[in-house]
Amino acid sequence: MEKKEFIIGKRPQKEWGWLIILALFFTGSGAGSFFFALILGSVTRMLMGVILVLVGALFLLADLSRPLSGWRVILRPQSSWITRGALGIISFFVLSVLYMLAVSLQHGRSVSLSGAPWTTGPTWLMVLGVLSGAVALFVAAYPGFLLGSMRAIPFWNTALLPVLFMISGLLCGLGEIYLMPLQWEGQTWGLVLLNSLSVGLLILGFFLLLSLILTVHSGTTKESVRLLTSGSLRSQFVAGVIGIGVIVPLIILVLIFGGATGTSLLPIAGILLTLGMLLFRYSILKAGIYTTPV
Amino acid sequence: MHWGMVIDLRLCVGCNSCVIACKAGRGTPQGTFWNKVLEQEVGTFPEARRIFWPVRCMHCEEPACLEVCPTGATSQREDGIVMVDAQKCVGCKACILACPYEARTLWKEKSGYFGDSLTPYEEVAYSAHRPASVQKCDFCADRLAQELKPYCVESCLTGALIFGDLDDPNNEVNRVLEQARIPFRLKEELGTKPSIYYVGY
Repeated sequence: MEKKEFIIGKRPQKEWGWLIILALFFTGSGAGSFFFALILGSVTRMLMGVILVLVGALFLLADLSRPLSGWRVILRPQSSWITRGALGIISFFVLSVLYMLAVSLQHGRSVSLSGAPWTTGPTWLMVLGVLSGAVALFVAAYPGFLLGSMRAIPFWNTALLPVLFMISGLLCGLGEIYLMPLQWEGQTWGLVLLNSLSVGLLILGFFLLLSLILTVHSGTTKESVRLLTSGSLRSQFVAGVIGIGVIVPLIILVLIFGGATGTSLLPIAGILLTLGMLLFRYSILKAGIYTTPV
Repeated sequence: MHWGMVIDLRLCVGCNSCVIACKAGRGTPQGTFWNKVLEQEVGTFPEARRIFWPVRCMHCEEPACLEVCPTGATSQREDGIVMVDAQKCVGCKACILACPYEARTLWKEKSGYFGDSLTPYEEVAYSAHRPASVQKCDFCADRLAQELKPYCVESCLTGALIFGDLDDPNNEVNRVLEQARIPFRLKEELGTKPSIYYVGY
């Protein structure tokens, strides 16, 4: 027992720590990877996304006091975002595995990158692809809804978080796509599409992050923002998320996009994006401060 | 029938007898407090004063904990009491994060106050609790079934805790509420509709 437990004051949440941070990171980045692999038509990269989501799901289970009873978390979809997220992850596994099997049977292990593969093939396959892509987006975004449902932590209670988590998941996915060796020569459409999306998402994410910290705040939310901008989380949020995770990759991608440099810097952008988006989850979870009961 | 409580802040002297009575009567584990008396300093010298706020699960009509629970371990009885079924709890901690009253605790492991081994009292008392599950006040539901009041209410030296049926207009809780100048509930802006009212601020 801590003596301060009996004193009224602002307390940071300690219930969700590294296990949840890693869980949200792996599920988000896996879903993002899968989404872009779906666009590129690369079954190998889709598989990587599914494996990352699986790792994230294992971290989610590990955080429970009773992991072996983890199946119980699917019982209340009518109100619990944990249930909805768990069902989303299960649906993601089912749909993505079905889609990968179907594509592999149709086209072999990997589909050519010379044209958007999800625009070709039988209708049922395209429907399956669209469904698995939509569920992947949900898996990336649901942590924002989950955090928003915690009424005791006002900082998390914002409509910006689901959008930010989805963008962050997609950027993580792009980061992992950039990290894996890819023969971009002759696949100009893929590189142009991914770079355009990256730049767009980074700019949007930057302004949403600014909105998150610049919106008028009071009380507990103000303290959360203070932690992020000038308190103990400043280096992780300002330098890590905004600097390393958004601004530097944005500069690199703009340079590549403008033809000022080749694609050799892409893996660096990938590493920075991934690291920045991990720090995003860390910062948001650690900045959660309980509203005082009184 | 809707169980509720009125807490008269003018009468609370911060003796913590309710906290001790709850710990002793319910045998709550090490580091777990189903009720607390929070201290708040208000004003500045020479007008400074200390206010004691007895808090516990507010048994809200719209419980924030209930909606986030993914397993159904948290439920609400018809008489308004919010219960936790330890057998169904998987320890996801969402209810702790959702509760604006800091009323919930996860009992992680079976350890006592006096080292690794439990005292004979702890052996008996802790057997009523399940480790690795979330705990909170249940208004002493088992005592209510025997027409007894909760331990905290029975032990209050000054009568600051008044317990009764909020649906019964003749009950003492409603009489106190009618006479109070400005009765209020904590964090009403969150829409939880607590069953515990405060008077005398």
